[in-house]
Amino acid sequence: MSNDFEDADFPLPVALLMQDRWDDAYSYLLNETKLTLAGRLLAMPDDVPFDPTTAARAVLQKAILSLIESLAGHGERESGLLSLAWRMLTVDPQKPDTFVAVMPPLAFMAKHYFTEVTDTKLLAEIEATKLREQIDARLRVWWRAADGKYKDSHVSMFRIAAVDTRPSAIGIDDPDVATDSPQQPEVKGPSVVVMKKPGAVTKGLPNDWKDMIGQAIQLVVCADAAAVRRDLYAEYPHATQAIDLLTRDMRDGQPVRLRPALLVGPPGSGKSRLVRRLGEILGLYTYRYDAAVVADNMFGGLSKGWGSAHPSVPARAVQTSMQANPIVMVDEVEKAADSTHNGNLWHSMVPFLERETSARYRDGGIDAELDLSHVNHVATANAVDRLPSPLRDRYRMIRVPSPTLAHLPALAVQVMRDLARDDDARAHDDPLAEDELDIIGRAWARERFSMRKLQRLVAATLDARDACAPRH
Amino acid sequence: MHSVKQLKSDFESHLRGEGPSAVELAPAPLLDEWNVVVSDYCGDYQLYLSGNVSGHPSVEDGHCSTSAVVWLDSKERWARTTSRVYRLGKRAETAE
Repeated sequence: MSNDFEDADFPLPVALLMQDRWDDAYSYLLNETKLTLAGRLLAMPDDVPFDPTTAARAVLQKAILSLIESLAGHGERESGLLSLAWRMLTVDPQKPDTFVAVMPPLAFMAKHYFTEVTDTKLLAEIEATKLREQIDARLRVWWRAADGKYKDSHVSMFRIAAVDTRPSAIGIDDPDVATDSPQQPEVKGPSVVVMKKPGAVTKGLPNDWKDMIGQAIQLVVCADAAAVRRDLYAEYPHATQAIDLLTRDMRDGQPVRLRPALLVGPPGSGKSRLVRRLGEILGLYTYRYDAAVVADNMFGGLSKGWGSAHPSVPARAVQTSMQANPIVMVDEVEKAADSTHNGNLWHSMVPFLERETSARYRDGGIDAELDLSHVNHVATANAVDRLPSPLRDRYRMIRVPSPTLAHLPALAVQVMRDLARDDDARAHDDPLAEDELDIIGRAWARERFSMRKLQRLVAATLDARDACAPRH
Repeated sequence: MHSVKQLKSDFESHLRGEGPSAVELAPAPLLDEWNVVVSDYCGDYQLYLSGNVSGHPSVEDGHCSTSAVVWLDSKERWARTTSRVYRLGKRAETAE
């Protein structure tokens, strides 16, 4: 199929995406390279074989790498494009790192170097649109590989992309998020209708739930992802990697959408507070569900047959906040194992973590179908070995380490800021002196660097300082 | 944030094998101990870097993440993002 596109009006590396096999990509590129070099009266290096199957892999790889170098050094646009295209032949899905230099320029060109077809013939326009979609689909497969999703694969990137974008393999596209809603003009910005139709039984449904029928509910947008990260780094200097992972999919100006994340770390490392702070900074409501404490399993909702109706936790989070994408945080999710009810908690969480099922969740509590697919799910755990794998597989696992003594000065500043916020009398305290930090540090080490304990230690130190200070 | 036009012209110069000019590179912030992050927003992918920054005009020294990378120098000495050029220090030992 690749031949149809050779004359297409976009750069060589982008065109190369449409090659179905590595060998095809190789011969196509070899030919292009020869033509380009001949036009400039340059010779093709003779260590690049005509038929790649005749050369040993290591020899071939070396020849390609030196070709990439020499092409990049020609100082011309055409050879730069060739160099980049050859680099695409060196990627290895088993080694995501080999994609790092390739993806940024490739994606940039796919986005900005596609000439809009102004052909008057409708047919040509349709073809071009189709081609564009195919290129974007293949590019997404390349990105997934760069993200390490094909580490177990044994075929070339070209093969993977060709197979994964066959019409049958392309999944259902994300349903579009309504950017405006004709019935509810008062909601500004992106929004989504969570309850499209009334349930079978609307009688007896509390009014605040009835109001949700057909109502567009706001999606909270992240204005500046880098600024959000910056705020969190300052407060959690020991967890910068965790913050990066937790916030990595956020986009400026887009609704906040986190992949389900499971924060794993020792008690006191500040996992729950980190999630709550993320919510606060984003203006996103955080609904906390404590798996260790709540014995009755109402996460998935409870039908009215049992006295009072209980909508599911994600539905309640949406209804309470009137945000379509609040954070639902299940704290200490592994503790659920201690209670017999709670095999059920894990079970009832799974449908919410899948886009397909959460987009049409039949909520027993209000007897209606809800679109809860925009709700953000975060769980915390001290350990994960007891979690069943169906649940574990649906989360991105993020380790939150304990802070160390090295983080004490930065953390102490934050704790003092918190204390000052709660208590005006603390607003003008002098910063902690070195000897005070020293004492706190030793006591803190005995408490295994718990963030909670640190707060108490700092408060106690300030109290002691007050007691010793000469009275005015 | 640079205009797309400016970005395209920088991109073109990198295609020709040119790095950022000394005038642009010398005062550029330094990113040390950096990692590569692939970010996926509903199928809209980007690659950015995170690491220890110093000398950034609007970000305090310390851990920072960049905007989307447009070009990464093949010898990993610099990177151009949609907003600026970074000089690159050592890459972090462990990826993610």
